[in-house]
Amino acid sequence: MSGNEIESGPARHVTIPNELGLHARPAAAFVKLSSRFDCEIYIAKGDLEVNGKSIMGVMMLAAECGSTVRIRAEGPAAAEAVEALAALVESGFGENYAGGGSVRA
Amino acid sequence: MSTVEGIGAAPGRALGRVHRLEAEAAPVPHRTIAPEEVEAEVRRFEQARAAARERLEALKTETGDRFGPYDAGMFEAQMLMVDDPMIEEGTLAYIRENYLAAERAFDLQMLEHRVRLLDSGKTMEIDRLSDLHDVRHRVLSTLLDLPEPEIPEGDEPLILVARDLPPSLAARLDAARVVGFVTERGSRAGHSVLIAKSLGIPAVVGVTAALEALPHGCRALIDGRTGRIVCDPDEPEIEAFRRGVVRLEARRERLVEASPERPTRTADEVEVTIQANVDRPDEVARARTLGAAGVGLFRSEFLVIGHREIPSEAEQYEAYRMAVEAFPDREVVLRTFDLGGDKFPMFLEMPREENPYLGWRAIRVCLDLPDLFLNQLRAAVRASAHGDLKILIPFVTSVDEIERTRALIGRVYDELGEAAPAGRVPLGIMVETPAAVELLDRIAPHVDFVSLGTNDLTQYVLAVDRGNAKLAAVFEPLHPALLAQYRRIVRACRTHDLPVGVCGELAGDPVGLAVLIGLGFRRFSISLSTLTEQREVARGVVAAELRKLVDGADWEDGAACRAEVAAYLEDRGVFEGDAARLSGE
Repeated sequence: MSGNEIESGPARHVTIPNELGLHARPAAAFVKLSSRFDCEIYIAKGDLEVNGKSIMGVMMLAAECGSTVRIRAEGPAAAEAVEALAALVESGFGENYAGGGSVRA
Repeated sequence: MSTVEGIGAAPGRALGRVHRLEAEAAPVPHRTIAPEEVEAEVRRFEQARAAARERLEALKTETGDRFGPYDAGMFEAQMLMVDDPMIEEGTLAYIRENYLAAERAFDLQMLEHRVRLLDSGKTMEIDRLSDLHDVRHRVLSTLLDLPEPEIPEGDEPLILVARDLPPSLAARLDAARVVGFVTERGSRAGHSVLIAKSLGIPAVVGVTAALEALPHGCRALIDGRTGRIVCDPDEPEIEAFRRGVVRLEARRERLVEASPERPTRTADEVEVTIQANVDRPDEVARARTLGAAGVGLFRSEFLVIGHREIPSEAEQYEAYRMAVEAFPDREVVLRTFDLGGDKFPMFLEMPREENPYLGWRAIRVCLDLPDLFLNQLRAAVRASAHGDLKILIPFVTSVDEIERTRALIGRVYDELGEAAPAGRVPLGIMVETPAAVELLDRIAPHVDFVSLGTNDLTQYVLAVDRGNAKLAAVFEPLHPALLAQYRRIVRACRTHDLPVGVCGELAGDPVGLAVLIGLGFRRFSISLSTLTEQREVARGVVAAELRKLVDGADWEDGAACRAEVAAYLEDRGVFEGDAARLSGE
């Protein structure tokens, strides 16, 4: 957790669109995608910011549907990482019917 | 000799020696290190993590090979936890800054995370605790050189007794060695139970203080249907069990000769359709080999229970398509998520309820979470292009629920547009609440078929919790009040020319099946473990005689009904006293 570090780097606020919030499966999807980037990734809800590559951290946020989280990255390809992760969250993690994340035959 | 009662979760009987699994890890001793030992300690921790990761990967592969990708997926969360940077950072800080030994540092970290998860207070996170516990144990066992909870070498049949069966262990069970298991926790629909059913071994769950009641090394006889456990059984009990094994062997030999392709007809040539209840798509092929005339109940909970994840539409579509393609010429009836009650998915924040069986479950959950439901309906509609798929909704108590489901299905077709398969997927309901029985005349025009669920109907008509071991004797699906309900269902379905089947456990019991045939039911869906035996029961009876027997009787209780029908079956030579599966010594 960064807490009192100086926060910098590209960041985006996104709203959790899926009905069940950032529960175990989306948390795992988020962490898997974060881990593909070399930069540091943080995700925050309110005052709590956690390491975006930590399943324990992301689950701890317990971000419910409609809540806003901030995704922030520092280091190589930081902007790209933030965009990719924001897109994942906005797609509803492929679990929302209306979100367009579902796969068609 | 003493007996203990639990909840029968996977059918069959077994005799074996009790092997207790101590799931709780030993307390980790406090140990500090010298500053110059820090790097060696860090390496020790990293090696233990690597070992845990490797073991999990092997387990995932092994489980995938044995049970398929759905079960292998359960190790994903643990793999992410092993690699968790917060846990790593915290542990390393304790080693480097507080000079704690690796095991102590890691244990403290895990404790902190446990507390944080508990604080977050959400059901889904709390359910993650069992994963966290498994990971803690796995890493610590390397650091402290503890043996993994393994099944000891040997040939003697074992009955595992544990507070909870870790999923990683359940997935590795060898049915030749472990003939059954007993747990203090767990529900009928738990992941371990599904695995027990796949392996064909009995399981009894919810046995309070099982660890105290069943000492390590004692012999035990367990009945996974009634939930009864006999500790140190006496000679007569063992004799009875052995006679059962001999009878069963003889019966099996006869059954091998009964060709599965032969249609099921009673002795008086009445056609009876025997279909299979399946819990997983890979069981469909087996159902076909056994000669089932389709799948009358395809439970979809395998996609959610124990997996801690919402299944995606793509994953569901694949599973449903695989099922219908395995049975190209027969119907496959897919029951939509029957969540709630004792089946808690880990991704849903289920409300804490005083009476979960009277609460937010099944169709109520689905209609409240349209995204979840639409995902499933859409996967089902798409899969229906590949075979004869039908949709069955559970726990219906009103016409409105059916109409709302129809509207959602309509929306799926509209949205699929040209990609939608031709025609409409047939929709049916489970008749398993007194309200549904009462309203059948009104419901009939809104559905294409109905299916009788005897377990829930019994539970709601008799006001008895089927999960309560103390009330096992009161849970009687042949109670006169239930026979009256079954009669009403047959009558209403005849009036409306509505196809009706029975998919409850009663049809898997020889006496139950005979009574249902006598009442006029002709379509049954039965679990794979008793399907072949039940086909033989159906072939051995005379439908007209059963009808006379059942119509003419006015049994005062379930026992009287059982006794008379069992006597009839014995006369016909189709009843072996106990047709339950037996395994063990």
